[in-house]
This record gives sequence, C-alpha cells and structure tokens, in this order.
Amino acid sequence: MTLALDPQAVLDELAGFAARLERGVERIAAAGAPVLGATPRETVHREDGLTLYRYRPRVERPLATPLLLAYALVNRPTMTDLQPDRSLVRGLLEAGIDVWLIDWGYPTDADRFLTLEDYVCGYLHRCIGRLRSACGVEAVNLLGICQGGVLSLCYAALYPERVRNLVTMVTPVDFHTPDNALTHLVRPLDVDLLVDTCGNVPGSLLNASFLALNPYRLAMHKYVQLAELTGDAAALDNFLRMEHWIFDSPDQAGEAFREFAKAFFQQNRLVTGGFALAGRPVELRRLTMPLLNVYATQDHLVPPAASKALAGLHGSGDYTEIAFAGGHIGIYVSGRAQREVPPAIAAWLRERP
Amino acid sequence: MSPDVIEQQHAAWRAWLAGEAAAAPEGFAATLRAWRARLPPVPEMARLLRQGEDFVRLAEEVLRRLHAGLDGDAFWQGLPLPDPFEPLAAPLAWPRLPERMAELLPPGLREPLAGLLAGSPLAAELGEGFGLGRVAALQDDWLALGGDWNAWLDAERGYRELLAAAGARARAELRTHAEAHPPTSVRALYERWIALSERRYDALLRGGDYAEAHARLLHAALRLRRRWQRIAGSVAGLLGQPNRAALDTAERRLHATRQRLRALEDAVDALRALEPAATPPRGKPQEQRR
Repeated sequence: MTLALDPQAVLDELAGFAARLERGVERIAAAGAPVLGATPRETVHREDGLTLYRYRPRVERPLATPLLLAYALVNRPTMTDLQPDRSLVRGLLEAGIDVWLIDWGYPTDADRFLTLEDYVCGYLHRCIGRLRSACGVEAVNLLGICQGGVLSLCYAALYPERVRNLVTMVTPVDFHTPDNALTHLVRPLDVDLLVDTCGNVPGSLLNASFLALNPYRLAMHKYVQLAELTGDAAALDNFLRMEHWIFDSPDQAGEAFREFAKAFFQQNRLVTGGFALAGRPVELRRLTMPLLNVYATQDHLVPPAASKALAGLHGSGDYTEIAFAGGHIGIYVSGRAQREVPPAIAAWLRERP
Repeated sequence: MSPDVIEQQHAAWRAWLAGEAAAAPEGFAATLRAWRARLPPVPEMARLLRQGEDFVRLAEEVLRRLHAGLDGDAFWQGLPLPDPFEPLAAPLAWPRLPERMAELLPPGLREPLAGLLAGSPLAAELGEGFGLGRVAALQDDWLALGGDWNAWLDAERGYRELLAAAGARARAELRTHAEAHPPTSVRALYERWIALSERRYDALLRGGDYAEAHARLLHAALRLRRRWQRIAGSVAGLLGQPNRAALDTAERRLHATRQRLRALEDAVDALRALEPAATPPRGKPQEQRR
C-alpha cells in the first residue's frame, strides 16, 4: 500500500522545510559564538590548567561555610552557569551560599601523566586548602558533579576532617548496575591500548561515546527539530549555548583516564574496594560527614541505581537523597530544576551549618 | 542559497508534478549540499545542514515515488531513511589519516606525500637515496600496515553490519506501522523512523554483540593509528626529529618535576604556618603556581 500522502502537500512541506533551514543557517551565522558563564566571579587561584573561582555573593550574609563545586573532568563546568535563568550557581548564591568552583581546564600533552592522585590529593586538596584559609574554616562543603562526584567521594573518604558536608549530584557509585549502558561499552575496551596510543584521550571520542547512547535523537533528530526553532531567537540562543557546551569536550589526561576507566568502569572499585590513592585505601565507609545524594530519575548516563548505591556504602549517620524527575542535563538547565534543585541543596546545607 | 532559489526550485517541482516538465528538477538536497560546501566552517551550521539535507533527501524521494505511483515493496525498498553510522563512527576515522594529511599540504607537495603513504616510494628514498641506510624496522612496519588496515576494514564492516541489521528491523517496523496508521506528512514519517530506530538501537546497544563489535572497531583503529605512529616516528628519527617515545620521556620527567615542586611548595607552606612572624620568602606569589 502506498502512503496516503498528497504529492503537492509533500512538495509544500519540503519547500517549507528548506526555507526554514535557510533561515536557520542565516540566524546561526548572525548569532555568533554563544556566551556561556553568566554570573560574576573572581579568580582566586591558578595552577597548571586549573582555575579556582569564587562567585560574588548575592546576599548580604552568606552561609559561613563555603561550598566548592567540583565538576567532571569530561565536559566543562559552564553547565553549572549556562545563562542567568539556567544556573545552578546563581540559584545557590541567591539561596545564600558562598559558591566556589574548580575549572579543571583543558589538559595538554604536558598533562598526560597526571593521575587521579594528582587530581584528588593534589589539585582538589590544595583548592580546599585555599577555601579553608580564605574563609577561616576547618572544613568546607563540597559538591561533586558526575565524575567530579566520584573525585569528591574519594577526597572526602581520604580527608573526612576537611569536608563538613558532602553533596553528590548525578554521581555514579556502583558502575555495574545492569542498566548502565556506558559501562557496557567500556568494559570490553583495552584501556591500555587506548591510552598508550592516544596519550591524552580525545574529548571528541568521549563525546561521541555519550552521543552514541541515543544517536538517532542526539546526532540526527535534534538538528531537524532545530529548523523549527529558528523563528524563536531565545530558543535558538538556548540551543546554541547547549550545543557549544556539548561539543566543548576537553581531552582527558591519559593516566588519570586509564585509572578511572579501569578502577571504576571495569572493576567497580567504589563498591568492591581495593582502590587507593597516595597509598591510602579509599573506603566509602569513612564518609562520616552528612551526605546529600541528588540523582535524576531519567538519567541515561548515570542510572539512578548507580547513584543510589551510595546509601548502602557510606558510614554517615546523616544521609539524605533527593530524586529529581528529569535527566542528566535537565537537572542543571530545565526550568523546574532552577526552582527545585538549588533551593533544596541550600536548605539542606543551612540545616547543617 | 536564498529564498529566491528555494522558490524557483519549488516552482520547478510544481511544474514537474503537474506534468509540465518531463524530468524531475534538481533536488533541494543537491542545492543544500553545494551550499554547505561554500559556508564558513561553523560546526552548528554544518550539523544542522547535514541532517536537514538527509531529511530533505527523504522527502524528495517520497515525492518521486508518490508521483511515480510506486506501491508496496517498490515504494519502501531503498527509501533513503537517515542512518547514524557516520555520526557514530566519525571519531574512529583515524585510518583515513593519509587523506587528511594530504589535505593539509599545498598542492605541489600532495603527490609526494600521497606516494609516501600509499606505496612508500619516499620512504624507500629516505632509506637509500638519502644515504641514511636501510631501516628494517620501518620496512617491517610498512608491511604490517597492510594487515592492520585489513583488520580495521573487517572491524568496520562488522560494525556496519550490526547497525544495518538493526536498521533493517526498524525499517520493517516502520513500514508495518505506516501502513496501519498512515502518517500525515513526511515529517511524521521521519519522527516514527527516529522513534522506532532508537528503540531498536537501544536493544542492540544493550546486547553483547554491539559492545564487542564496537570494541573491535576501536581496537582496530587504535592499532592502525599506532602503526602510523611508529612509521612517522621512524621517519622522524631519520630526520633527527624527536619521536613519540622521546616526547613521552620528556612529559614523564615534566610531570615528576611538577610533583616535586608541589611537594616543596607544600613544605614551605607548612614551615610558614609554624613561624607566622617570619619574613615571607621572595618569589612568585602562590596564586600563580605553575
């Protein structure tokens, strides 16, 4: 049976789409490079490619204990402050939190031999030292996001006295839950061959792996939909900012990637144990500080079960979970996330000053 | 491309549909492709146009088939439904390195380089004509390159076959679905294709075969890249340039030196903390550690 479509209607649809495509390209060209990072901040510390920022408070008397945001090494922390009305950072500031952020930068060939120990016991440890001395506190609040959450868990387990409260957002803990598609792809990989051949692991390769989880929607359909958005300047701007963020994928320091992929994706060491940094075992039962675990119920990269596994592994007497009804990215940028997530985190921190 | 061009094409297609022209006019897709080649390299534009072009190609082909009165298998067979192979495999296209390297060179140098990479006459010249002596390891690598290349071709074929099998199942489902619930537009047909394909692909992705085929493709691409690196390193050595091993050594030493520097800085900080009244040492402020 032939499709019951009128050829004339199909032709009009085709010409209409081509016209929207043409307008879309013109508008993208006119829009120029998107500007990300909306909230005023100061550079406090630089070290190799890393930059530590402190955001300008938006209330007169913010909470005395500062909050350090540690984002993933993959992708850029601009996701936390994409634009004024989509900003985890701004939401936290407005809720009275003193917000600091680590930008890990873009590893170069000179960073190829950086290890997880360098990131956790070096960079992160020194950044926390900066916060402690600047704010005159013994311990800080730490918020780790995705892979940055794993680094934060490792840090807090090694230096519990320096972390007053730990917040993890969309953070994988059990990498071997059956619904973890990314782990499914990484487990058969020869990580040594990858790192020994590439040195630093190309960000484009990792980004393609993320897109490959939903290729029809993320690599194809999205752009056909974009043609429909081109009449809406604000929607187009939002799209371009997000698009810029998605493809702004730093290369990964080779040795750190090797350790991370093997220890967590392949060997699931946060659950099975046996992972050590600086010669000291990383044991989640040493997490005795208050813990807030925020996960997304529709997360296609970090399934909820992978995050919720923390509940059975920590050693804290004060553990809270927040389930956000959305996805891995929506938890930062959706309108509902702005209303729900930063106020909830800030309220939880305020109850534990 | 301009609105005028689109309108002209629209008019030409209308005339063809009305039987006023014998042959179908040049497609919108061909115009878009030519336009894409002339645009500045803005990635967002390129992706929009690339996928937009695929949708347009589908719509044009639907139109041609409807106009020809094709039915059943004749309508569905070979319908150009977009597939994700290129977006998925593009980052694994290192084996196409020779073509990309040749593109970087001015026209006068392209042929000698292409010769080096295709059949190795320049490598032979380096070995004999320049008086640098034969390099057995380099020759072995050139020979092994063929085996690595074939392994990569096999792996890519296996990966393509898996995707194609999933695509064929999605195609059959699309036909069944579209015949039971006819879409009201090409866009509606496309949306169904995306939804069904994503579902099929997700099932494929979570099975064991896909992960194995994906790993095999990545490993084959890496081994091929590694072989190229060895060949490039050997040639660099002949020309007195550092190769990958030399750079690795330098980077490893740099890393060790940085670690020692950090340890010294931490020790200085600890001493300062013990003697707060002491005169601060001269040197870089700590904010600028590098």
